[in-house]
Amino acid sequence: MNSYWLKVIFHYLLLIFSVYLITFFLIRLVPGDPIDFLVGQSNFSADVNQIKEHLGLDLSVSEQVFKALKNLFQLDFGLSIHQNIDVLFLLKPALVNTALLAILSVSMAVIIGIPLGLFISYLNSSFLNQITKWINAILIAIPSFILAPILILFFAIFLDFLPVSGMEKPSSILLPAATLSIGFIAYLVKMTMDSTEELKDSILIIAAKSKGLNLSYIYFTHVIKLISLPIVTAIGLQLGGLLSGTIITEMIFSWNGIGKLLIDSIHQRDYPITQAAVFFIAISYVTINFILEFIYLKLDPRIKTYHE
Amino acid sequence: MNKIGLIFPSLFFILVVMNSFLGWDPYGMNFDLILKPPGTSGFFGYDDYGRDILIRLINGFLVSFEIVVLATSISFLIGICLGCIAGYFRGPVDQIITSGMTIIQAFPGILLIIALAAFLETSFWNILVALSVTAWIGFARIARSKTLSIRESDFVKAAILMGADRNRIILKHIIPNILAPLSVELNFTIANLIVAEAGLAFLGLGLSSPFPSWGGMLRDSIDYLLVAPHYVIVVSLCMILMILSFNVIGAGLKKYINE
Repeated sequence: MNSYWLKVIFHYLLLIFSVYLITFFLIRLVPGDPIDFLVGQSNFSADVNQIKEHLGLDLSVSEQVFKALKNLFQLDFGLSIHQNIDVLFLLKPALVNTALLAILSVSMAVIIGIPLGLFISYLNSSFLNQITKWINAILIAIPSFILAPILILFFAIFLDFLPVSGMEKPSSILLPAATLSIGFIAYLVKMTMDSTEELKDSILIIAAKSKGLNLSYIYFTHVIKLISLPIVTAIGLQLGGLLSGTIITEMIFSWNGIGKLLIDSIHQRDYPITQAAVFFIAISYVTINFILEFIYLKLDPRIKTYHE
Repeated sequence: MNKIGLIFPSLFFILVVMNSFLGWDPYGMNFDLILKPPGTSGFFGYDDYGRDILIRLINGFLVSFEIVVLATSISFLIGICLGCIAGYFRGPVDQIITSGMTIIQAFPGILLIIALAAFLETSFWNILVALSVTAWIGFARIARSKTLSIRESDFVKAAILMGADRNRIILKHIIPNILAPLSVELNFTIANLIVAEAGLAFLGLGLSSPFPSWGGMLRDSIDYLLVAPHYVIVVSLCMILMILSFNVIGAGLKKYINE
């Protein structure tokens, strides 16, 4: 451990704390008194006081910040207003479901996208490159809420071998995972092709070629290592889109993940769940980026000396 | 090749202008025509209340585009101001602005927009605010990094030597030079905000139901996936073409500027 890591960790903790405070104070944005909004017409004063205490709105702002901090350290995210259960209890299974979906779609994308990109640039046909470029542009631009109905229409209704939605069968994960990964596959293909393009005329490749190495061997052993850094960056950047993409995808496929929990809680005005879900999605994103920082250093130790 | 991107948006603009003169009614229901596929009377077919899908798409485009263009302009102005200030003054001012951006970027994609839309009352202005809160960062990042490098260039040093004051340098020397990369970002932001706005409407957090909106129409159409696939296909095709068009325009501009 040295000053570089201390700095990175300090920034990470500070970021988590700021994100937490933002989610904590989101409830103050509710126009007028959130309690009136919640209880509506039938407000009995006992209920009002109870909910107020529940949400911590009876305290002054400074006391609320203090309480927020205390809750964060105790991992106490309050009780759900409608179900009166600990929010964390509801969040845990949802987080697991979302993680399952995210990991499957990222692995699908990495397993398909990188070899496909390498293969297309290995074939080196300008016609194929041009077509791939256009297909990539289309697939990257399509938002999940358009892709999902198209996939449902084709695979679940036209071909009828995958379930439309829900999570009863193990195969139900395939369509939502495909929805999330298709854009990412296109992105990885684009990234791989672009970075291989830059390497094509480099001394490294010429040297390897002049040693008499097979071109496909060069691509799948040397080039893949050299392009790993921009690809890790791409994965990191794309995971952000993925995490927010899961919200809409989970809604369409009624996948009981954190995104569905978030949107359902918004519609039911169950604010503690909304706050906690927003917080958890944000910190998983921040944490992924934090882990990527470690991976960068493993892949390219020069980064550390550059920072110092 | 990149001029292709102009075709679809211009076509839609012509339809919007025609619509404002002819006053096509997006709410007119005809119960005989419920979910009727495209034919001679309705170009794109009819929706679940027997309303003409094309007319609703045009009207929905008008509302969405109004929000998107306003949000883009607001974030453009905020981004260019804060980006220039951060890049020009550096030091603590830069640190405050940069960490502000980092905190907002900790919320991936449209998460913060969803969160804001959830807690604010749904209205035109609040959706505008929710979209602008995240969109300015793209502009600010570019403005900041460009300002940082332009500030060190010879012509700025010459201007300082000639006695130009701070405002003159920022307004006359820095801003004209960062406008080109920002105009590329402008198109990508429009495309992203169209998606974000449609996403909000899709999740039921946008302007509410009787108003035609692309995201709302898409959500309704999914319910009729089995009986009337034309509804989904037409709406999603329109949205894909519009998003692609702005991306292609942005890519074309980028190429033009770099050459």
